[in-house]
Amino acid sequence: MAVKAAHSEINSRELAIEEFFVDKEPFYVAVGDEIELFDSAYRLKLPIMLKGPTGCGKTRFLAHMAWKLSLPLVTIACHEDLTASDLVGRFLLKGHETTWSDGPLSLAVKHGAICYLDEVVEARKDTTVVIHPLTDDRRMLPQEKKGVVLEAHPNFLLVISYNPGYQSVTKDLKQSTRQRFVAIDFNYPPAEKEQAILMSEGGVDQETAVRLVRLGEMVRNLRQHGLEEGVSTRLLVYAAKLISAGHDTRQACTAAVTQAMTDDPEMQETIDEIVSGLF
Amino acid sequence: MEVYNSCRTFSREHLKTLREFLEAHPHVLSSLPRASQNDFIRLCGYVAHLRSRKAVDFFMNTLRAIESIGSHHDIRLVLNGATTLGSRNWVLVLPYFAAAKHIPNGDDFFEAWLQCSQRLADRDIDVAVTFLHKTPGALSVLGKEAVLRWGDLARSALKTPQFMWKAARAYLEESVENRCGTTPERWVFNLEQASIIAQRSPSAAEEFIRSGSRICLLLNEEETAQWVQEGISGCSSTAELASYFSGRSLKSLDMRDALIEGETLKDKIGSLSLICQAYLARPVKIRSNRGLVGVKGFSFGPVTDGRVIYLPEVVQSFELMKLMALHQATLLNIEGWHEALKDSVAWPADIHVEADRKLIEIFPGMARLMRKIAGPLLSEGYPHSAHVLSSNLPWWGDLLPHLITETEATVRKIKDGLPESADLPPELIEKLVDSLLAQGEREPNALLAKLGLMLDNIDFDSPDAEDLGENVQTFFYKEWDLILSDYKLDWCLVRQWTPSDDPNSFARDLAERRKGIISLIRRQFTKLKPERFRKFKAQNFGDELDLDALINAIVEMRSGSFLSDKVYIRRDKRVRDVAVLFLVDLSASTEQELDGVRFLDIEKEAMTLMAEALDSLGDPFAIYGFSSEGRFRVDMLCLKKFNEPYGDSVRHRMGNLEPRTLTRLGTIIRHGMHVLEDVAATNKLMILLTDGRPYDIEYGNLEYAMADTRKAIKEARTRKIHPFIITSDKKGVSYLKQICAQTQSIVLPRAEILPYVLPALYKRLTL
Repeated sequence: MAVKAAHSEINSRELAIEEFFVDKEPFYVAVGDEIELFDSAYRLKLPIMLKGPTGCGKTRFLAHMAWKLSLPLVTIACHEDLTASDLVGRFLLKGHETTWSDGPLSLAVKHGAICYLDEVVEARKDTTVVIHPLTDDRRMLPQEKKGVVLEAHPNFLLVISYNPGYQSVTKDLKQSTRQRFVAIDFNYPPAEKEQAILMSEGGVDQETAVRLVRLGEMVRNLRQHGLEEGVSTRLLVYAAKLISAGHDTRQACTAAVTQAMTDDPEMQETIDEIVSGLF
Repeated sequence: MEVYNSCRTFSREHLKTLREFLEAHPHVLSSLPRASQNDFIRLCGYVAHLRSRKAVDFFMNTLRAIESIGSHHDIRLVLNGATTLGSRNWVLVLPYFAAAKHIPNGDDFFEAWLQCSQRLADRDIDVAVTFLHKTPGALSVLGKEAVLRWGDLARSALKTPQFMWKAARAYLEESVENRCGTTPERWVFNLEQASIIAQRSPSAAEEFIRSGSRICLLLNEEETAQWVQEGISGCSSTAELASYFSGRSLKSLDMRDALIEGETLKDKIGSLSLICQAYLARPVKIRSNRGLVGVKGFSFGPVTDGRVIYLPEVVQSFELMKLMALHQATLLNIEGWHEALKDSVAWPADIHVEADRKLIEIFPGMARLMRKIAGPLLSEGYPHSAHVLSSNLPWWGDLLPHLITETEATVRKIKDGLPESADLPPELIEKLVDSLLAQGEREPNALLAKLGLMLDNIDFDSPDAEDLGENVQTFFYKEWDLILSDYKLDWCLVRQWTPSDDPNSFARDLAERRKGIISLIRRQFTKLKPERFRKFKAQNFGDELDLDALINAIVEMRSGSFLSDKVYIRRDKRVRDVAVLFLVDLSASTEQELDGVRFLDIEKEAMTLMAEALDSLGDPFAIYGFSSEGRFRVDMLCLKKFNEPYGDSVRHRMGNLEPRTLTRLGTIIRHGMHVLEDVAATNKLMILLTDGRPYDIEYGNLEYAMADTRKAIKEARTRKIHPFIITSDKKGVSYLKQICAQTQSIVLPRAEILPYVLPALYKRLTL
């Protein structure tokens, strides 16, 4: 998959938009009507918010959609130090003169790509404000330092992802931001779909997949008791991968699930006991 | 009539009675073979000492017994046996006839059984009577061969009949009644132990056989012997002995638990409940099964009442305990087994095997565990090909269908019985009842009374409006109830106000006394202070161009040098972003003097030094004092708010602090969380200064308080607040472990060092 994290490389060289195309079909199992919904939102030029717990397939879904719609996908992993100029672009000194270098957001706006702001709540609030003019019918991006306004390519689509599991005041999305998006809600896939995912992605046999799914369900039953979130499909895939790479089943589950999920000794013991019961 | 020849020894009166009886029932003798007629007369002679009325009853019953037995056995043989037994004591005769009816016909079994009875009768008549009484039951439960062993064992136990007859009798009864658990080998051992006990008290030996030995099923023989020895040496009176060996006294249970090497339920209850919750996808309550002592059929194993899982307090291994819990949890999920059991549609063993099968379906790994625990008891393909199991499996426990129906009925009754005025949601009532049931109360009226009391308390304790002054803010917080395993919402009321800032000399005196250390800490802390939002000029990477650097660079370049790339401005955002909330214990115990100084004064001193230092550092901080008196009077004294500048009024408030009442730690932490919620900082610290364990009115025992505090700390951590506990309580080591990780607490070896420790600690925590 050729999804590039644009942010870190932007200063070293300009990336051509061609490099952001997804060339192989990413594996994705649809759970509901999210594909149709995304399709329509794209046609209607509506920005999209992907909601859901971590590791339930938001990013994978988007890669799949980018491939399906044949659009380049520019992914920006948001973090606390992300500044507006990291998104929009900045002047760099080259030879005798200063040259403007587009940020990943400008790149996507110009070329009609999907711009994906992953975990948007992690970014500082003043940074997220720059996307506001892109999300209403203006569909434009002011490049203040350069003194120009970019009009978005008709194919341009803004997608953010957001994990409502963080019940923190400081980590919540501002109403003025969140009310600019149509939301597609994600959750852990139902048992038989999750089983199919584990078999295809993790390469385990059906029996192991069934047990891993059961492990997932049981750990998710404990969400109210010290676990902030249930175990993600991603972690289950990791466990499956470790198993199919020849690791001992319990060892794999301890590494990919128990220890990855929690530091609480009681909870670790509980999950380990469940694992030893299942395998 | 020659039959009367054998009556020469009879008294005249008895002869008359017999003659009248035989005349009234002329067919009696004629129906018997000639050889047996004499036997019959001899039998009748055995009751010669009775009054005529009773004697006739005996004749009559003997007659009926002979009639009913006639077709089944050789009557000569039966009568012959009756006379041999009767010669020892007449009371054996009728039970003998009753039992003989059930003895299977053919081979030599009858003969062997008769001899067994005789040998028993030689030692003790009472035991022999019990043997005869219980023979039919034993035959159906144990089978032919085992019946003889069963009787022989009782006989060999009767080496000292005067002490042991009660125990031997109890053995005969219990081993037939109690179909599960005890193997014949174990009975041999139990009887040996009983003979030791019997030297002190025959009744205690009987109690041991009847019920005490059952609580020892968890012990091996050596440990049981030790338990018996402890009982004998530890009890003085007969009554004491009897209650110890019945296994119903607390002492005996404690002793047993002390002897078991293994896992205690108390340590594992948390993770077991979590495992069961993960399994059943709903909260599951697990309790000690001690509350069930006295329930019919309960043999101290794991059991459920359809709502709660009850487990033994100590089990050899955690694996077994886990299996017990999961087995019971599976039973909770099987619909209607208690009905089936009641209607005798299913056998207990069938239900257990069914539960194991379901359990293994979900947890295949449990099959391995079962084989490991049960060993040779388990056949290869268990539980899918369960042929007859020789005994119950260790994790099965009891099935008590009546307990389930009774519990259901009790809960229904209570729901109906509650007064209308108690306008509570049914789920809440159910939970309350569940928790009361789990504590061991099962009688509906008593439960109703307790529940009523609980509800009354809720009304009674509501806060009085006039209590609260104008500048008092109030907040409601939830509390974690260990027994309910759930939150009680809006349970505690926090009252927050600012204490008076009447001028006092506390801070000035302190500044005078601790001049050295204050300036030292201030200096140290100033070094910590970062320069905020600093712009780094002339960097080779940054957001903006640095014009000065750029012009310089171009000038340099034009004059022949290389173009420098250090022309950007970078903003360093690694700011020190810490907010800290101090919570200071004002409970009455801080009044206590340590080396002549009150702990409160040490706290005040440390806090003032800290505040001075923080003021120089510039980290936002707040100080609150806390104490409580029941759940509606949790007081938070606001000494300094986050947005309030540090100054004289704060110093004066600090000086005015005096010890108050108690500590409800959970609620205090929750309020601290609320205070920190409004502060925008990346790292939020909550530092608690205290001198002892959480304790408050209606705050339960230590475990309850611990559970609530632990829960509150977990809540804080999920909100990215880092609690840290500093205590001067030396006993703190043991309970702090239960509350939070070791890295989040410290026990002061000496309270006086607090003023030095606090700044150092703060530095370490925030660097």
